[in-house]
Amino acid sequence: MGQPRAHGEISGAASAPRHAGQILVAAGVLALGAALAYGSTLLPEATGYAKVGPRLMPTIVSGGLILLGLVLLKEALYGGFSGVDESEAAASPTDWRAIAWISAAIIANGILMVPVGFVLSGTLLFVLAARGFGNKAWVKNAVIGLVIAVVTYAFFNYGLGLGLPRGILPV
Amino acid sequence: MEVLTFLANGFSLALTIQNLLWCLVGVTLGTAVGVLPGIGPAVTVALLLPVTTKIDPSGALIMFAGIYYGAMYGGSTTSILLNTPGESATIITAMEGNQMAKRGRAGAALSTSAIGSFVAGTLTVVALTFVSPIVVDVALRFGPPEFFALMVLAFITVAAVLGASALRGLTALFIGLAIGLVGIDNQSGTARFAFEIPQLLDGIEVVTVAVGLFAVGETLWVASKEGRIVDAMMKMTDSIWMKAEDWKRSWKPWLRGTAIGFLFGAIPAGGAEIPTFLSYALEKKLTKHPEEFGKGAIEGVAGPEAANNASSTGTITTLLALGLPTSATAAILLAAFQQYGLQPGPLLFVNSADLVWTLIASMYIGNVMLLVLNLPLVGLWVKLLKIPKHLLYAGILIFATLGVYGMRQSSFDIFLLYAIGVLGFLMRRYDFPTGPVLIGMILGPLAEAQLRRSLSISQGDWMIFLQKPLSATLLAITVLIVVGPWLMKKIKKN
Repeated sequence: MGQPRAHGEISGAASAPRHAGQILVAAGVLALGAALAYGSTLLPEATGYAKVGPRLMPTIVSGGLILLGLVLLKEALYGGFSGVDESEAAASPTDWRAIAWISAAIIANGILMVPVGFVLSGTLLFVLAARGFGNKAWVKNAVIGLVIAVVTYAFFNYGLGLGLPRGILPV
Repeated sequence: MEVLTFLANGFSLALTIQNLLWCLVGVTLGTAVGVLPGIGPAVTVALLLPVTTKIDPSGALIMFAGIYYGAMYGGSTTSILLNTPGESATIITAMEGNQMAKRGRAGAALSTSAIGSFVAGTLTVVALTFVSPIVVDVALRFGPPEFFALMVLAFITVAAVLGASALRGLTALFIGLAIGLVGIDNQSGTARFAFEIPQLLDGIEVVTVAVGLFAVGETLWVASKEGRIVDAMMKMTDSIWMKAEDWKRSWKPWLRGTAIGFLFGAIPAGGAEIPTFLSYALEKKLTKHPEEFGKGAIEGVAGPEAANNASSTGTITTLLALGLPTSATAAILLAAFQQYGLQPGPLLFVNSADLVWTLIASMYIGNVMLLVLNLPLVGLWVKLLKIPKHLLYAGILIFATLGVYGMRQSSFDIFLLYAIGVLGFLMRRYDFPTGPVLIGMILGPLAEAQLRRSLSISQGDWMIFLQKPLSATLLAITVLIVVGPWLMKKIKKN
């Protein structure tokens, strides 16, 4: 809500700081809308008697996103997103190292799934993700991960014929 | 009664060993994922979508529906014992039920929510049985403009009513609509926003979006806050069986909650949260023990629990009879129908009557199974809550990559999964609801088809939506929902 900030810099800085994250989020929505709007112009217009073609819906969606992005930007610049308590977020800071471990786990899985196979890449995923939650029992986690991966592989591959990659393993 | 003949036929098909097994698997899985934090019915159904290539439609859909309403039973267990809602519709239970548990009444709380869910589940399936043919009769007369207006109403209510902010809900919806645009346009064959990447030409898979937003986003979020949120698990010290006094105080809230939940689930107003809040407010007003509210009043558990269960059946009613998904899980159920080349909506009752009625009959059976699973066997589910977080979430990630890769054997989808997971994390951080993304993505292309059909009927004249009385009314309601609250605020200010 647009709180009046009569005391200028002093109270403005203390009570309603601008949150870079929120501004970035609003900018992201705007950018997505703009990209869609540009992409829409490249699409063909209606063909034949249909009057409307594949360009209509993208145009509507991009317009909506741009409008919503602007309103979000206004909220972010004046007092922050309504109902989002940034002091609460500041009180429990984000553990970026945990996020890095889990990101590594999933990206490595994407790279290794085909060449190494579902079972081993899944085991690695499990171990890295558990590390992301602060658990350092590598060997124990590897064993548990391997068991889960083997069981699910057997069930989905032989039971349901899902066609998961075998990779470097013989079966 | 034609309906009873259909239903009897449905039962005869649902009572085969095979379908009973699918039903049991569905409700058991549903209870499990309802209990477990970090994985809900939407993700579970999404992860199981690949099985649609292997099993017949009735078996798969019986199982998927079972997961949906089963999760409503399981969610209350977590809320009562852990005070973290296992599922978003159990926020109220987490407040009041956890207070009961703190006062040594965990057994009674679990019991009133299980029996309340059963009462609600069963009564609403009866309602579904008799209401849906009427809705179908009306909807069969709908043309593209009416369907389009109905979808717009569903979009707006789902996005503007759910969550803390209509602005962020609408943003989520539009992100979903944008995702739904990617791929080859069904009507003209034009590739849109695919950048000549073959995986994008086929469109983005529902599984990838659902699992990315809910499972991966949630995992990133919980890991980033690990150690800062402490959960204390309550023990059940009293008997699971309710006393006479508890029954007396529970039965009316069950019935009232059922009515509220079904109505809100059935109209396209989205989600199970609102009916649970309304039911709670109503019970607080009507109770003879107002002093207990906030400190563990049994009415405050009985009503909302019945309401959230009833709303899931209401949502299924709307999905089957109108083809409108009003919750994230319903949107994925719709995707499951599409895997079989089926389109929920009035024509489904005409063209696939056997399938629809088998599914409905299975819901009667599933609710009985759930009562057994959640009352005498509740102790088993409590054990699930003892799985350490790092193992639970690491395991969820294995299933996530399995389901996403398995859908079309492409590593590209795992990277996409990660990107959408990051989106989910950001949405969680800035309090954007994620459900509307999924609804926008799945319902968007259907709405687009209706829009373009309408406009080609009218030869490009947009007035067609206002010339048809029903679509005009629906659009007027939509405008009121969006502008109403804002207008009220302006009036109050001046």
